[in-house]
Amino acid sequence: MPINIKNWSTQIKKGYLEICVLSLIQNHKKLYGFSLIQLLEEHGISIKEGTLYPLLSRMANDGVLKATWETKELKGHPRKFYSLSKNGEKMLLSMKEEYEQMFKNFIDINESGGKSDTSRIRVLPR
Amino acid sequence: MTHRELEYYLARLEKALGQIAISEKAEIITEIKSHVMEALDNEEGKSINDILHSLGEPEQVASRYLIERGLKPQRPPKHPVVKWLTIGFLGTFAMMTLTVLFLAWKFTPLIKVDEASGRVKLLGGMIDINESSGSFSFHSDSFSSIAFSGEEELDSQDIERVRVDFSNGNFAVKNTAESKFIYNCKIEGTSQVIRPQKRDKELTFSLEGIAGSKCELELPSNLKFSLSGMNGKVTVNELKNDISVKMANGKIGVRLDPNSQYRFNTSVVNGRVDHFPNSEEKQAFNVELKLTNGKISQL
Repeated sequence: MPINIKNWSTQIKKGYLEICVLSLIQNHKKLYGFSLIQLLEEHGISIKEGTLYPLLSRMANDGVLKATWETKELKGHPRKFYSLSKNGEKMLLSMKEEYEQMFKNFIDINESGGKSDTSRIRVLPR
Repeated sequence: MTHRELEYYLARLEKALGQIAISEKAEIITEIKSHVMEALDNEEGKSINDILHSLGEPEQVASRYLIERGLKPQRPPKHPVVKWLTIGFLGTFAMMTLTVLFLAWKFTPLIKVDEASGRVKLLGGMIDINESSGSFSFHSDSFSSIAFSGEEELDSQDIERVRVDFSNGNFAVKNTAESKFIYNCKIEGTSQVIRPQKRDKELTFSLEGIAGSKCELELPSNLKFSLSGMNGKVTVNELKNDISVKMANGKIGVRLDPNSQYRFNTSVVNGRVDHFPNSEEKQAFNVELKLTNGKISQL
């Protein structure tokens, strides 16, 4: 990846990662960090552990995620499971709407071949 | 099961998390530990070091946690030597600044020219040059100075010799018709008046250890007179006495009495000495002038 695109990519990935993480948690009801990394990778999204855990921690702090510690077996180590809070559910819904709209706009721009049809621009009344 | 590398990693992480609340720190550390254990169980062939390596440096991970919370990431701790060097540098800088400010305050204005009276004052009046009278004076508040004068009754049968010792000074000596030793002095570096002392047929006037002295002295003729010091200027005016002047650095000027005879013994190690007319007569006064560096001149 050329250097000039790396910066842009990091910027755009920030919000994208959040929506992907929240969606995966919603689909699986609850997930812990390690399994989340594996699932993201299965969907072609590679994320560093050092990035994911702080993100989860912040979203739990913000009340978007609920966290519970669970130990599978008596001898096993505890795992921190994350699930969506009520607020988190609402937030994910709005995020999805917003993202879908953005994506639609993007497709629209590119399908018109970059040339916008000026007749479709509405002039707002003053 | 504990791993030394893991414990070390977690300790560094805990330290780097800085201002995050202790209970939150505990959660973070437990979660990271859980992740490492999980990876160890699931990813065969990977060592604990590989897993820690893929997590990234603990300080980097901690800074992500801090940034996510809108806190400022901690800077890497400075080496103690750097800290002491900084303190030392700032201390030195502060002292230099204070010194410069003090000097600026003390010697302001640096130069002041008064065209009307033809005076130039340098360094806040410490050096005062007067063009019209051609005088030059050096003042300093740092030294106290005092002017005093006095006279000492001399019984010629008792006192045979007057001796003046000094460190730095300017002396002008002449004869008086009275049987007195008269002194008029201004001295610097002390505020204590100095008086002559009588001892064993000798009158001693000691200005040794005085930073600067300027005196006009008068003494009766025919007494032995000696003057010795380190640095200065001595002017002898038509003395009808046996004279001895010894000095390390400076100028000795002698004005001879036209009606008297003198026998000279002069020496200068580095410098110049004028020619003095020597008399063979018995009643001639003995004049001894010894100087290490400087000039002996006939006025």
